[in-house]
Amino acid sequence: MALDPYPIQSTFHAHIYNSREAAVGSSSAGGGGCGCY
Amino acid sequence: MAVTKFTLRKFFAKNMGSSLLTIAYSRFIGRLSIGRSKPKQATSASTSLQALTAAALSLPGLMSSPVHAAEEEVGLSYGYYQESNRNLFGVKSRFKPIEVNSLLGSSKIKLSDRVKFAFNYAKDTWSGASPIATAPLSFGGNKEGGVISGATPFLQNNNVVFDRQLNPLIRDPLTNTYVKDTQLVHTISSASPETRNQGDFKLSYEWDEAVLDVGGGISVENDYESRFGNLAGRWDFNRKLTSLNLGLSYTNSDTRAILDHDATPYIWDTSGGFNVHNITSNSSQITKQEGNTILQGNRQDWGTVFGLTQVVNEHAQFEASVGYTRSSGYMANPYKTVEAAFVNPLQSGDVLNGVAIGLLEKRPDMRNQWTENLRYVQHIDGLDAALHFDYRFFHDDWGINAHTFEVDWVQPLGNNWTVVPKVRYYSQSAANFYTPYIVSTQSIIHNVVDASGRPVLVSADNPNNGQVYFRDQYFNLIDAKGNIVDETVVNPINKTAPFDASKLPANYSSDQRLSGFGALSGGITLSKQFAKGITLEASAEYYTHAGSLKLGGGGEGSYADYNSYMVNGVLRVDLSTLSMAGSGHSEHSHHGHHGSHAPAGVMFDHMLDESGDFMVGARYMRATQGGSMLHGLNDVSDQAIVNNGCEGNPCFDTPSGMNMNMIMLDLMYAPTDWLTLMLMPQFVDMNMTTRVLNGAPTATFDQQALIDHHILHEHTTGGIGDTGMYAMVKLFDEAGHHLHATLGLSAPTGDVGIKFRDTHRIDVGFQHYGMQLGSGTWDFKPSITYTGKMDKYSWGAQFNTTVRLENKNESGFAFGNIYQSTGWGSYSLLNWLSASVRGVYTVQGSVSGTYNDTFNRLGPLDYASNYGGRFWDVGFGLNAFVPTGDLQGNNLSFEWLQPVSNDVNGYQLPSSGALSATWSYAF
Repeated sequence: MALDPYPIQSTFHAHIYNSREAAVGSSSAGGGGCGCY
Repeated sequence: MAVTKFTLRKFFAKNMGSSLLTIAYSRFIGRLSIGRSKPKQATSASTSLQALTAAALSLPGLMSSPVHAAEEEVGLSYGYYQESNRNLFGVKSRFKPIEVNSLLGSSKIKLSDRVKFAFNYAKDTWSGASPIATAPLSFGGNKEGGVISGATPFLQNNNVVFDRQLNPLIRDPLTNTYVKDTQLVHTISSASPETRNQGDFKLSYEWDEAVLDVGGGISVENDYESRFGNLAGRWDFNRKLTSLNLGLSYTNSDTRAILDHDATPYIWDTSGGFNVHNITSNSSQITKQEGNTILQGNRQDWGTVFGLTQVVNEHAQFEASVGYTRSSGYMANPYKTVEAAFVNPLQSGDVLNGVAIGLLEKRPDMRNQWTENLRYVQHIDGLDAALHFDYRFFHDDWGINAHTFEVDWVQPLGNNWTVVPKVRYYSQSAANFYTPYIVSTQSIIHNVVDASGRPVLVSADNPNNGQVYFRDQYFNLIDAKGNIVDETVVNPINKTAPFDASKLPANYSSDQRLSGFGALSGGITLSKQFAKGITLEASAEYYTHAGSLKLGGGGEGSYADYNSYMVNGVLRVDLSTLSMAGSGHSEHSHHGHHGSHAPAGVMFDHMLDESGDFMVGARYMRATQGGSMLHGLNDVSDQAIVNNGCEGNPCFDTPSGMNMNMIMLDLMYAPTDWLTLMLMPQFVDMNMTTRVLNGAPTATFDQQALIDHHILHEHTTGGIGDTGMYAMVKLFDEAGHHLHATLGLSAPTGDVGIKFRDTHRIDVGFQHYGMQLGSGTWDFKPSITYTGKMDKYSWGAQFNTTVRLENKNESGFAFGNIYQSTGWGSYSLLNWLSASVRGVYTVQGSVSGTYNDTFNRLGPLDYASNYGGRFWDVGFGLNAFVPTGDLQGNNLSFEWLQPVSNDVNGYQLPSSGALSATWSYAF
């Protein structure tokens, strides 16, 4: 996180990537929901 | 600032033998001090850490402690995601592709020197169509024509044709022969709008050389709920040039998906008998509940991550981490199906006929995942920029290997502007059970024979009573014991059995997320830090998904390619900077506002005091409707609604409850003393339940399908609402009395074209008028407000109106005008707390016009005359204000609005109250 210039944006981007790609975040217990769309 | 400096100085004095970082520190402070004292060394030597900090780079133990970002911050982010249409090879889909609206609010505050608390709230809504399955083009998954025009998913009992090599065949209309056609295509299906809410928190305790975080949260959707907790620690050593991180997380998620009518007829259970084998994984089950088919499942995820962060030199830093996550339980997507063709090879000729159906996808119950991350940041001296390079390798025991590369260039432009171009490349191999579709060499259904090869017969009238029959050599009907039985009584038919599920693969999925593909995206972020600790960020990214972009080739065909884009805007308010930067002034002006803040439900209640003042705020409103239906002032029976509620048309159902949530961002700026400008974007979401009216007329088949669709599913909509722009002009301001006029426009940024998803291949059409996200029209919103104040008392009155400037919106209707007057009184109980009482009278006109496209009217909600009315409400409020300390200037108000009298136009569900909460911060 700390190496991330824009952490709030990254949260949004990661949420979208996670709903379209198989590789999920490394340690994420951040919820994020089903992404079943 | 002062605190930041002090902490850093102490930190360096204590830890730094390194002259390198001491120089860096002085440069860094030089940058932070610009605008105060402008030290000379800062001008030429902005250099390394300046750019690095501009990028919010973390120096271990330094950036992640106080200097990193703001210590106390409020952030609000809005994101929008939109996919392109898929290639359906000539079929024109009337479905809009999937779009997602995301709102994220975040806050972090210091509870004490060593204890921090962070809270985030996220809300997503999405609607539109995405692939539900994949099939050869010849299967006709996106048929045109039929009950409705355009594409509709068609997955059930398709007669399909293959050659002996099991290549799909398509009939050539010219020669009337079959030719091989292996072209694949996605089958597209739409979804009704859905909403997700998430709240999470993190509590941190900091020691001098270590930090411990404890966090948790919950994410709630209609069909998915996830609860999670995590624990993380960081230990700094080697004079804080090195940090070790260890994290542990646990997530427990429940799926409770209603398998919709558009899907259930297509989704076959692989083992045939619905009641016997209805399991798609060991952790899920399918049940029938009140007419719905429900798939329930549970999954658990345990994750751990171990990382090392190292400052290499004053120009460079890296972070390396490894993560392992073990997931177990139901991990499939309940809305994705796998198209399966059943072809009996024991057919004569070169053309094999078969039947294709949709199966629920089936994934393993266990998934072990590993990730390796590497992040590197290099400062580029000559350009004063920072280069970020991230690489991640992911692999799991489903056979997926994925690489992610990302390069960001953080370029400060001066004047506190920063631009960040970004390139990202992602590639993954397919899961080993991914398949576009299945061909199984067996009949979909076959006649059962016993061990000796005799056909087994059962009674057509009662096939499941356990009695079986056979034919003897004379074609007599005999029972299991060999006794001849009366054929006319039994009425025998062949016992049939569905396909043998054990001949299918153990797991299968056609979800594009598990296919082999690559994705290339590029984007740009612009950010500007304003004085007084306000930062605005805007970003856009364009994303291309293609099988041909897969690393090493072998990805999915081009039929699966799509593009998407996402845009994102972020507002960040650094509370710690604000309270220190603006002390004297803001303290003064807040005391001015403090006592006279109107109740939370009143908008446009105050102006800013002085030119140059800013205010940011957020408003939340939840309005609920429920109870008995009203006609005018009185409760009304179902029969009366059936008879009169639908303007002479058949009336089948009626709303039983509705909730609306609205989150508004409040941005105010005073260019002069007598003028305050205001911008109010908003995000809304609504949900509604309906019930069948007692005594409703008999419905046709299609009407019944629509009624079931309404009754069995909660309706949900959400997204960006209308955007308000206002100018407030001071008319009178003296000796405790203040009068101002507000002139405003509401721009129709909210969607008014939201439709239901199809059911039974019927185009359900538009949602109810009241479930759209905005008015769809440009609206004029003038108001006049008076406020007064004496000692501990304050009071006010306001008259406001909403006048529609157009007589219909793009969907063909317009809401009625609104006229509202309100008056309130407030008393200060303590120097930080006041209580208020308020009365409100509202008149709203009915809807004019009607939807200009498919609209199935089933109840009073669908008729324009059943909107608007005359409403009396009483409000009770509390207003808390932080007069001193770090959070000085923050204001938090709540108000409950209780309906006293609802006099509705036509037939409506009455309001049962509204809660308003506002937070604002002026500086």
